[in-house]
Amino acid sequence: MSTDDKDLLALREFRGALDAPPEGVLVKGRYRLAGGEYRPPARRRQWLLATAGAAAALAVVVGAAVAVKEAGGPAGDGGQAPAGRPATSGAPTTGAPTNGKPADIPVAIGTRAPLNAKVSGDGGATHAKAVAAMDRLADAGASAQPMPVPAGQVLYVKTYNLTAGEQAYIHELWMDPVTMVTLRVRRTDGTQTMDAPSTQAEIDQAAATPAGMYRPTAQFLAGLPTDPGRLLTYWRQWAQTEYPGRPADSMIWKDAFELIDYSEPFWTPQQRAAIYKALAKMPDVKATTAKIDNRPYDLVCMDREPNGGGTVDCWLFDSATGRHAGSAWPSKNLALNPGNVGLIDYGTQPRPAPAVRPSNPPKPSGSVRTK
Amino acid sequence: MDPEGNLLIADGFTALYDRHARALYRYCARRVGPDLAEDAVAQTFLVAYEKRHTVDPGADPLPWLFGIATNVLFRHRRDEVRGYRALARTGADPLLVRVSAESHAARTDERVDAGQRARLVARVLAKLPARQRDVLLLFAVADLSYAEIAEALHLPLGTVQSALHRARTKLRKALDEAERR
Repeated sequence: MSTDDKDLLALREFRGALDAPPEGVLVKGRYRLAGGEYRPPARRRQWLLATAGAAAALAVVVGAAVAVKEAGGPAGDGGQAPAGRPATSGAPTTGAPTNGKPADIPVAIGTRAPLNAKVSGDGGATHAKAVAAMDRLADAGASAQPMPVPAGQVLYVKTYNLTAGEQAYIHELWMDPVTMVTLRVRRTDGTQTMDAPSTQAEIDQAAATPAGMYRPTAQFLAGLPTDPGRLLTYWRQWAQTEYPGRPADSMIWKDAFELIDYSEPFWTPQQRAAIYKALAKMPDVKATTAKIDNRPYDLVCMDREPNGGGTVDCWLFDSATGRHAGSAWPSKNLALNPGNVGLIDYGTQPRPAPAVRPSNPPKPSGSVRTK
Repeated sequence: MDPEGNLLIADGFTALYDRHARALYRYCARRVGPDLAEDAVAQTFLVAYEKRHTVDPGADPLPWLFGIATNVLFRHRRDEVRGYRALARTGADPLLVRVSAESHAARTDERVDAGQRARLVARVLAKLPARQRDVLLLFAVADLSYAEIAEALHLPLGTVQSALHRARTKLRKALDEAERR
């Protein structure tokens, strides 16, 4: 290296003491990945937030009876699902993560989606259909009022696919309805469950970040433009700040996850209409219709990687109620099946206790138990 | 599923992690410190896993991973720049406080010189446009070539070359001025 490279020498010396990771950090990181099995695209942030800075090995437990006790039973807990979710009396359980008690699934009696239900897509997605669908859904959802959360309770969101056994996927999240901070995440992949309650420090840290797309508080929602065009402009400005040089609409679609999946129960009809119609104004958004267990849904999608990638990011809306009903990650032809559809239920449950973690995480191996 | 319950092994992602996590950690830690680096590396691999179908299986994945890591770090850019500014202003690196306090060598002249250089480097890094900083650190710390940086950041080769030239010129100028004093 010549003397002309003194700038590179200075840079390579700069903070060189940080090069070696603290003992165990990379092992811990590797183990954190163990819970990151690919499911819907761009669905990781809340899981990451919930586990950031924590020893994930601690979080990987089945927690069977304990989890049931902490979460409380869903029946009679005040939960609600998007209205009109197909009632499934007599349907088998979706591989409950607990000690075999079906009480933890679903949020409310009668909302359980059937396993391996007949799922069909109508194809022929177009942008014009997206515009029409969002207008129709906004009208249909005009009677949906913000969900009340009783004192001492928090928002509970359960996302799940329609398969059982190794392919079953259940994601449960407990969220403070005021701060919109994740308090606990429990996730079941097949027979493995990861339970990740946040520590108080993590909760406080997340609550200290500004409200926004990633933490859509009621105050943030109230400040959003109610005119769809102005709302889209706001989103695009935000996306250009967060992702300079990247396609704004694609970034919005990717990062609208918290907004749509977690704040939807608290939308006013005006906010719902503005959000739906603003999404429909994105030129690359297309929609078609689908049926799950013979119930009609609107499938609103954006192909964020038109020149590559294998899947398309879609939101599902209940055609009858106008409510957000879940998401889907079908292949380019938008063919749905029980494994690429995730339905969502909303409810309330008692506030989970913050986690207390020791400073030294246990060794990864042996931390996972299966049912 | 491996004995650790690892779900990614079938896709070779644990091998990818084992091979490249340390290099990515080094790059991230120098920019944002050990705590955020740990999260950034984990997030980088999660994003990579989600996008694994978009990368050429025959290509070296390292530039791709560094590109993802750079995007992940972009979320922490304020913390990063704040750290550089604190070091430039006070001479105490907030990311290295424990290290320097524990080091007897911190009192030697050599360490004092290194500390002064670190302040100067931090001052320059704090003032660089984000893209120039990314390119410079990918070149100097991650040891990527021009072409690999272009691939990592989805930039034309010429843009990488000009950004690197500008960034290095600024740093060299600052070092030259410091030497003349």
